[in-house]
Amino acid sequence: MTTTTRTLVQDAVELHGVRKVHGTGDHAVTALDSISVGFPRGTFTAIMGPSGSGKSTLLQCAAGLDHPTDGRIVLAGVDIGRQNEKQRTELRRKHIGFVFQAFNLVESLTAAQNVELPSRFAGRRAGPGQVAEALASVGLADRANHRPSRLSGGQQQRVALARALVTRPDVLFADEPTGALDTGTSRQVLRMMRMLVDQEGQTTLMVTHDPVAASAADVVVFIKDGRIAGRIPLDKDPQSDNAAVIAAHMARLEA
Amino acid sequence: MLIIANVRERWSGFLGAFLAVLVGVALITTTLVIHDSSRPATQPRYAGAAALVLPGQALDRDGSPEDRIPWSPAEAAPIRAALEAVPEVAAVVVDRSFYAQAFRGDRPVTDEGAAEAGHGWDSARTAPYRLVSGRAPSGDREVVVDRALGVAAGSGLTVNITRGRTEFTVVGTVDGPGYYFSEAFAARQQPGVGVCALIADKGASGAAIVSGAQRALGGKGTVLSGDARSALQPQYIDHKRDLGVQLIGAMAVLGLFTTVFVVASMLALSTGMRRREIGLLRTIGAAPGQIRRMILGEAAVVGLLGSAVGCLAGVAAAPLLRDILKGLDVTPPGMEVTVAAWPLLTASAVGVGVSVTGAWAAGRKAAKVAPIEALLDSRPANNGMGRGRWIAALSVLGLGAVLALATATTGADSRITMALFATMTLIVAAALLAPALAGPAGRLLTAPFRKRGSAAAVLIRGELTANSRRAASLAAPVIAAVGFAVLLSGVVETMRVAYPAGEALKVAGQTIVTPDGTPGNTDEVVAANPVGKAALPTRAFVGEQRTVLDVLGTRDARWSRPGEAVLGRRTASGLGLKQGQSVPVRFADGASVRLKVGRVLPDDPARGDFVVARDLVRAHDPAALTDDIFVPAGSRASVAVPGTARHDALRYALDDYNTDARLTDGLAAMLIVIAVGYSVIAVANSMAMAAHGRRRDYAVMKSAGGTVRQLLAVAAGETALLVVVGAGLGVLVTLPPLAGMASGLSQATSSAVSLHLNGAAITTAITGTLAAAVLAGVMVTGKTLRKSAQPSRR
Repeated sequence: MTTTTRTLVQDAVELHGVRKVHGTGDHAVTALDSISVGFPRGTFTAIMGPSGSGKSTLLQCAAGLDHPTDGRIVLAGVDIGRQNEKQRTELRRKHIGFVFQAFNLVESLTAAQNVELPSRFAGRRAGPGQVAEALASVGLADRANHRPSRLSGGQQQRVALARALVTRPDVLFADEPTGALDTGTSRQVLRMMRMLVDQEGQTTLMVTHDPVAASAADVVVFIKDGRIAGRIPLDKDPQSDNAAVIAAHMARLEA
Repeated sequence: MLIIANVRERWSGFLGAFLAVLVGVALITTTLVIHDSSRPATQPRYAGAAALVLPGQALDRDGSPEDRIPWSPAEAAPIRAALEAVPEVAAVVVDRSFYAQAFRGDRPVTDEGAAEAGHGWDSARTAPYRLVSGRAPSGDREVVVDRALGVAAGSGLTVNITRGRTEFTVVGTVDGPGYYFSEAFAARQQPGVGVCALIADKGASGAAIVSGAQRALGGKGTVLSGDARSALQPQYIDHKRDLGVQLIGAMAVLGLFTTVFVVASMLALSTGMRRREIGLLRTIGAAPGQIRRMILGEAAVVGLLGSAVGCLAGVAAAPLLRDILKGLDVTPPGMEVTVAAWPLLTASAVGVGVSVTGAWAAGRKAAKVAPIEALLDSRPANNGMGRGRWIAALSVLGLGAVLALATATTGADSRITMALFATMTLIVAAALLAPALAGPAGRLLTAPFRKRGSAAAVLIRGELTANSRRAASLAAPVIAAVGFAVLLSGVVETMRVAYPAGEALKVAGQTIVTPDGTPGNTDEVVAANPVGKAALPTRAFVGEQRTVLDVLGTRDARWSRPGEAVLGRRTASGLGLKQGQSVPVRFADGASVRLKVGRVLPDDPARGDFVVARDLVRAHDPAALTDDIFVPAGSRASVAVPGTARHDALRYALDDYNTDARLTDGLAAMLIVIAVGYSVIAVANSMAMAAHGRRRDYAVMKSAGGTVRQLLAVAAGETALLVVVGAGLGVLVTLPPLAGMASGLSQATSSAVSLHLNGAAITTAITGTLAAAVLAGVMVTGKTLRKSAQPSRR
């Protein structure tokens, strides 16, 4: 991982006193309650919490998909709260990648075309070599011309990762990326994400409820009732049972 | 890449729009092909003329060029001489056309072109028609006729001319239509010169003759050669062509509106179902403008495909439309369908344009989809009426109300057009309001079934409430179809009652003598009916500007003063004339007469706008035929002269109206078929998309114990319910414009006219839509059910 002056002083994503209230008056529900947190460059952070804890809202606000009621979000050095729609589009093109639980791909396009699509929107074309390379690095070189309907769930998620690999976003946001997959496929997808972090220095934020998935991260941040309820740096030793540690922490939170 | 891929992958979602464009383009192609094919061709009569020389054109009161101003014999002589001097011109024929029609016993020989069938003998050279037997006519009692008439040279023949039935001797026969008299006789029938035909020497160059003729004329007229000679057409053919053009014009306009409407509603629906996909595109960096362009691009591709197939369908359907128009007797004789490139190109451009226009709203909506919607995997959240939709719906509704009011107050000419626009506007309003209306209406209609809870009723209720947008888009085309059916049949029905009532009121108590088999009343008929209005119309050129208008010769003592004219107020002010002023009037024979404006009276169609003494018109237009004769009560109307018929006031009014009604009936029937056809396409498309989107629901219902038959019953019930709701709205939206029209007609005809609906037409339209929509709904649902029974690949 390359270190520049900027990365030393600034995290890839910073939340400063972010509040998010859904609804108004008596129906108001506080989803995020003045959260301040930073996600350093080149790290893989898992965000966990019980249902309704606000973990998804945190991700959506951090990625600029949702507007916080209060507070400031700085992504790749830019305060996204002050941006207009055009700047946000630019931000999404250049600085943000997404992997969702499902429906990550445009149904009508082949895997290769899906990988290439963001650069088309940005008005430049990714070279065929670049696309093929990205697909190869997620192990899907032979599926380049398949449409999503002919790919398995795990393969679709890996195409989404390959897409992020071509755009090289500052931050990759993943919302339950393994939520719709079986254990074996989950493991494959997590291994790919880990590889992106280790080899490409890809800053990654992942919301999950699965301790096994979370154990692929460097750090797990726990959210409860819209507040940060804990932070566990994970041991890189393959022998340590990180999943069990995380599961235990979750159990305490839900109790 | 994305656009083409989307169209290929989601073709089922675009199928409806594709079909709508296809039908629309087919309709427009057919219309244009027929229009193109019915364009005037050079009359066979002029085939042998190298060029036709015509006098200059006069302007009418609106300033548009109309009739040509015939040269007087004195003016024509030097022009003729100059033309004869043009090198390579063999002869100059003064071509005259006037009324001539043979009688067989007491019946006139049927001839639509009789009003212009009489010519001077020289005119036979312009075709040329050759003598088959006998010799050329000379003297006033000789005529040469078409050999097809079956009269041998040497025998006698009764020919009806403006004067009346006259005995002639047939001295020869020719191999073409027409009655050929001696030149002297023809010149007395029509003294003015309207056409000079140039006959070329053998092997002469047409271009040299044209430029020579132009030099000889010195700007005093026009020289037509080649296809331009088609500008000269018999009036009856022009009239038919006009009617045909109006008919297919109205059809094309309605087709266009319905296409835009249907395409817009279908694309809005399919876009609404793609919100998550659009959200995904937004998250990976698509700008709102790119999304909008994508939607418009898809529409353009679909439009292009629809246009390509539509053109073929349109060309295939052209003979059918020609036969329909032929059945309505509004095609020029001998019309052949010829397919040129421009109708196809125009129709395709219109098809793409219509498709893109229809996608405009969908594109705007899609551009507003927020990236976060990529994360929402439920059905479209924005289901009911948004604020923008309410505003749009209510303002369009207001506009429709204003137009409906305008229908009542506008003039007779624009009343139907206004009613049509009011209906179109109200249809759009109803479609916009449909999401708010479909739910409650559906609940109301299913309320009786709620207690004896069959599963179907519960499901349908739920669907209508939960997915009112989809319900609305299903009902929208039905609103349009039924709306147009009700309006068109209602207009025809209301006018059928109103016009004859008004006309009959105007002529109440009078007996009307009309021509029967002849184009007008001859002087013989007028002499047989000495009492009553017998207007002799002619075209005359008034004032220094030579404004062309209809001048009526009257024998009514109130108005027929020698040397004077009676003007209607509007005409007088249009010409800038006041009572007591004098004005030069140039007649068809080229002579100018100064007339004093005797009186300026309020406008009255029964009197005429520019009335002079009958004798004056007869003196200057010897061939003019008299209009219908209105014999007042107490005087005897005579039909002793053959070729006339007698009517009482009501019968006359009805006959007069029925000619128009036949056309409007035909038009209404065609339009109803088209509108219903459209709605079926749209309903089928909508059902297919809904069924596709509900595959999972169906699986759930199946596992909950629903049989295929029950699920199909749900689909059928839902479609039927929505068609009923749409039909109700369709009837509702047409009532204001129709009521406005009825009230306008009441004022115009000074008789009470109430709104009339054509029950049979409405029932046919509604049941037709219902049956076809339910069938389509069940078929596509059944197909989806079978598909979803197979294991999904994902």
